Amino acid sequence: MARKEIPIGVLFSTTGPYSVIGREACWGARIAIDEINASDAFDFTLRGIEADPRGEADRYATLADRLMRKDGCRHIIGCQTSWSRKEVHPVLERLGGLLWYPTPYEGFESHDRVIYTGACPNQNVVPLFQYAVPAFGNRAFLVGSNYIWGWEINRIARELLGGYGGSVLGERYIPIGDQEIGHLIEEIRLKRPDFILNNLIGTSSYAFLKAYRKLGEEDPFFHPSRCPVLSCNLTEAELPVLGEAAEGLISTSTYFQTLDTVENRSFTGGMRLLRGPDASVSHMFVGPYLAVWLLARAIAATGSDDPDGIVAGLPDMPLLTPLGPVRIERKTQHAYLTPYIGVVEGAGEERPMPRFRLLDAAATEMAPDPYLVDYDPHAGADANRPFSAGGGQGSGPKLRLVT
Amino acid sequence: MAGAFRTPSFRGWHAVVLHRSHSDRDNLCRQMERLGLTVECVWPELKPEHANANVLVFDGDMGHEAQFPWKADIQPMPMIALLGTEAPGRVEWAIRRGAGAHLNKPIGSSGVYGALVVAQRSFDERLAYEERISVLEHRLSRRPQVVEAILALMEQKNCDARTAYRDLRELAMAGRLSIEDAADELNARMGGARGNRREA
Repeated sequence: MARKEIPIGVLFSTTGPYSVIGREACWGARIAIDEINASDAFDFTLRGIEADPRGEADRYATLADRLMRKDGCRHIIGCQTSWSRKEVHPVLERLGGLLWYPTPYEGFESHDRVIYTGACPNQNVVPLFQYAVPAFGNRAFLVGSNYIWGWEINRIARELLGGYGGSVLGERYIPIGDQEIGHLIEEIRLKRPDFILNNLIGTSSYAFLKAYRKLGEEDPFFHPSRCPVLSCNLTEAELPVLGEAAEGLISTSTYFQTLDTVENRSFTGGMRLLRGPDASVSHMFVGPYLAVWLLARAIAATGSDDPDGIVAGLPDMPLLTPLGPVRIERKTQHAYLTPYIGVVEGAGEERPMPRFRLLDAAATEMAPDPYLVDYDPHAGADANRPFSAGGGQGSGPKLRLVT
Repeated sequence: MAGAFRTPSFRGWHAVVLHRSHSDRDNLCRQMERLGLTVECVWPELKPEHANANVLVFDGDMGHEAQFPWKADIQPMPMIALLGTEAPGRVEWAIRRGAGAHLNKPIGSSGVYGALVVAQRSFDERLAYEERISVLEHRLSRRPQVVEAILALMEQKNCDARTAYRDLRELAMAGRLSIEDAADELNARMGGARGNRREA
């Protein structure tokens, strides 16, 4: 008997200013769809219908509407910016669809028609600062693209630094796609911070990182070992574009290719066969890949692709994926995730490929806390504050694991 | 200064929702629970003990005076109105009843966090203004005592009003008192002296 075919929307910008990560995302979804269709574990197949908003926020809603109304999709895997996600909300509400949002973001949202599988602040910027402040110091320079991701991550960063008794030496924004960054570099050269938090995206980020690399070559103060650039969204996908400028960059992610687990060794081995020996795997690829697997498992578990049924039936049951089981929290519809921190090594080399060396061996799974309800960034070094996790070693703010 | 901004958190707050059973109420409660609040739904009317809630969300469409056990000029906590109709009379009533923020019906998946922040901020600001006004009113009501003290100083030192006022202000500053308190102190002393003179 022929398996029922279910159309799903794949909405990523495979052209435009952040197309490098958009294409990775698209490939992640495609490969997951192929795997599911090839698997005999499902009594349905998925048909991915792709749409490219070209990085223009205003096109996301139009395309989401078309995917749902014309192509019959009830689920969309997509969006890599908060701006575009918020553009899609009204369409989801109107047409009863569900968005699987696979990208790390700044939190303070919990929309009924969205399943969030990327990290929220307690799973990205908070653990990043817990590592970085003791390692480098508490005087930071914040940069970002001029939209909600940069504004909000930098606001949380400002608050975290306050909790550490630190300071923000500068906070600067430039429009998405802008590559005029000379003034940023000059200001950083004068201010001499302990580290830089980079929330620029796409081409702006590449221009900035290349110029900063050059600054480090001119003035050893800005060498990555002394004044590194940190980010919450740099992944393997962008290392080839950056070349040598990527060396020493520090990033947090809930997936790195170098994760040493049985599932990941098998997964990356499979991806090398599919995508060639030199293709890297990044969170930008893995996020949508996992989201498609979660969707397929949810359809199988609830017996239907009805979004309401999935929202009602999905939470609390761990869903099996090729990278291990993933659980979505019922209350917030965000995933439980393990934040890792990695530093880029071997940048600019072709063999072996540049990679992230993991810096925190003891990373643990964290419940999502998109509104930072269970976290007090001002608790600073006080280990006895009400919201802290057990332990109490180290000097930075702690997180409370909610189980 | 770094750290001056604090992310508003509503963890541990108790919310009272004055609204009949409805999907709007369910969506509202779900959002508030995600933010760490405990929620108590009440209909058709509030009890006096509900004045202890951290926040009150009330229905602006079907709400009316008799539902509230406190007068409209008393606002015990930050309040948010749920508005379906934008009829001016209803909006006006919601404001008069203390709403510092509102949410439009139908209630969906967003808006509650922002409304809580706005309601709390406007409530805190109103409290601060009220306290400031009451301090100023109290000081204003003591103007006659200040005048009396100035007159007494003019008489005692045979000086003009400007000099007497400057002396009184210096007295207040030296004693770290308000000018009204300094005036009271001076009047008591001078009154005593004048009384003694009368006796003599």
